[in-house]
Amino acid sequence: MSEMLLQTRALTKQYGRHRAVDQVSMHIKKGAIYGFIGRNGAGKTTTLRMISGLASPTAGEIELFGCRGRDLSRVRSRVGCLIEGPGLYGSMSARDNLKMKSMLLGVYKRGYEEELLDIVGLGGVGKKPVKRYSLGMKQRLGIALALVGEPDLLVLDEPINGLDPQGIAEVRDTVLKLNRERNMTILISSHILEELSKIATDYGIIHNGTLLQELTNEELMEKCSERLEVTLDDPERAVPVMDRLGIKRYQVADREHIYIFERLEESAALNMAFAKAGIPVRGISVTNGELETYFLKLTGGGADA
Amino acid sequence: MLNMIKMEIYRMLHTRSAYVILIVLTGCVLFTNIMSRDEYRADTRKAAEASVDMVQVSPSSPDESGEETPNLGMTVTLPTTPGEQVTVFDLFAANIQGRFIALFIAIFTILFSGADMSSGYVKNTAGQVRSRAALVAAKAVAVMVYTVFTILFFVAIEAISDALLFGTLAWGDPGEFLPYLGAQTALHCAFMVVLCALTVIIRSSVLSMVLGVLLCQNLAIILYGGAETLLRRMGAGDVDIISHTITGKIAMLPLAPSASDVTGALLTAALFLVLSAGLGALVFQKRDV
Repeated sequence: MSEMLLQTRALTKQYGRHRAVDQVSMHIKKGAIYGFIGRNGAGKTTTLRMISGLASPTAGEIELFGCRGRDLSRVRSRVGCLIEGPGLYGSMSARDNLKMKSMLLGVYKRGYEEELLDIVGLGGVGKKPVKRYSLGMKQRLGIALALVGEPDLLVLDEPINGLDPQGIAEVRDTVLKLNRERNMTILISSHILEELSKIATDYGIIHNGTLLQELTNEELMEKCSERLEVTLDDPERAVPVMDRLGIKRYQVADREHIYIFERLEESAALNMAFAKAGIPVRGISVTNGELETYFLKLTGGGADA
Repeated sequence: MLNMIKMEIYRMLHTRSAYVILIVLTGCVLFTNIMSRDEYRADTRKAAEASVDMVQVSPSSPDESGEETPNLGMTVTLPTTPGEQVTVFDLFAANIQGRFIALFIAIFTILFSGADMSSGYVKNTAGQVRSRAALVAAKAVAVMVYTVFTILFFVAIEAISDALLFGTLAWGDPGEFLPYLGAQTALHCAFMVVLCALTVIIRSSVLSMVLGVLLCQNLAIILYGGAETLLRRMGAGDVDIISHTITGKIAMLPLAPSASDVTGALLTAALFLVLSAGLGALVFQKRDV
């Protein structure tokens, strides 16, 4: 089993009568890119704020790098975050914004700020005040700020919000680079599921403050990928037939359905093989299970995700 | 903690308003000094004509016993007896008693103290430090550094003004000036820490600015008056609240302060500083960012 970098146990946040986060127990492995999916107002940001130390839980526990309770303060500096948009001093330059955080964390390395700016693709911005930056540039500077001190866990809350396609691609590349080259664990929230699916290795789906499901990218792709959906009365009897045909990637979903994830164009031949074996097939179709469809099914429909 | 202080001082040095306020302060101090010179010359002429020993310069001017007639707004009046040499100490006291310098530093303090919250930069820092309370303490230290620097800068302007406007550079009696300068600096530092904590607690630069300006403008005497009446009715006797406040001490510290005056001022400053910084730090530590 991979080493857990972050675990929450029954994490809860209550604002008056409203329970924004309700008993969330999430598990993030070291080196993972954990996509935190949920609609607007589902409780993503509140959860991330608690994990980042910006808000205290009403109940429950956070375990970071094996530390919990009061010991958490010892490892807080190992968590970099970008929550609810970048917090920047608009009249200062990108370098000055970074320099201040470097000072706070005791990082005094010549050229360090320039190095961070290069990582996020802002090398050569000069002394231009941050208030003149585009939204994408500000977002990338926010990521650079989160990277000061080389954190082991990077928490990014909706980092692609409001970005144009190029900006989204740049942020995506930056996240992948950090994960691959620096082995940084990344917790990233978004409601743009298709974008998240391009980088995440694991997912947590939150809805109305409750974590509905945690699953790996493989598990999710299995649930969402294109497949042949065969409806029949006795799936058990169909298994030897599929084995004889050399079909390896299939799943007996329930008492009436088998999902086949390969040779999608051979549905007619498959139907004939089942008929020859005396297995009546009630239906066979290619299903395109999109991530959005899966998410909507899980959260009970709606269009805001 | 040292890293936090370094960060806040770096921010202070890169904050445009820090310099803008010093420039405006210079202009305003020079303006009040020119006005004071004209008034002083007129008073000297009048005194010579009337052949009196001493002329009361202004009804609102604090006298040597430290008594002050509370009035709204700010007044800048030279304490110099007509005909005598105007010293740097006289110019310093005139501006500082009117809470004129306090007003400028207060504006900077509130802008500076609220900037990390209004810009959202605090989200980059508050989660990654061991103690969030220390961030407030670091901010308070930076504000005090600015206060001390501004007061020294102000002394320099007064020295130049004295030489240029009154013909000679005369510092005044160091035995009186230095304790007065020290006590006023401590009171100003404490006042700014109170405003810094207030800004952190109420999270509104606008409201903090209004309160800061009102305190400098002496408008809190309305509140003090009400509280004094209430205390009198409760049988607490005559209580003079303003003389126990920082702004009251700034206005009423005698020009030739005794050891007990200085001690009283320092104790008041220390009490307000510790209480407000402590409260601000506690609130910031407990509250969600």
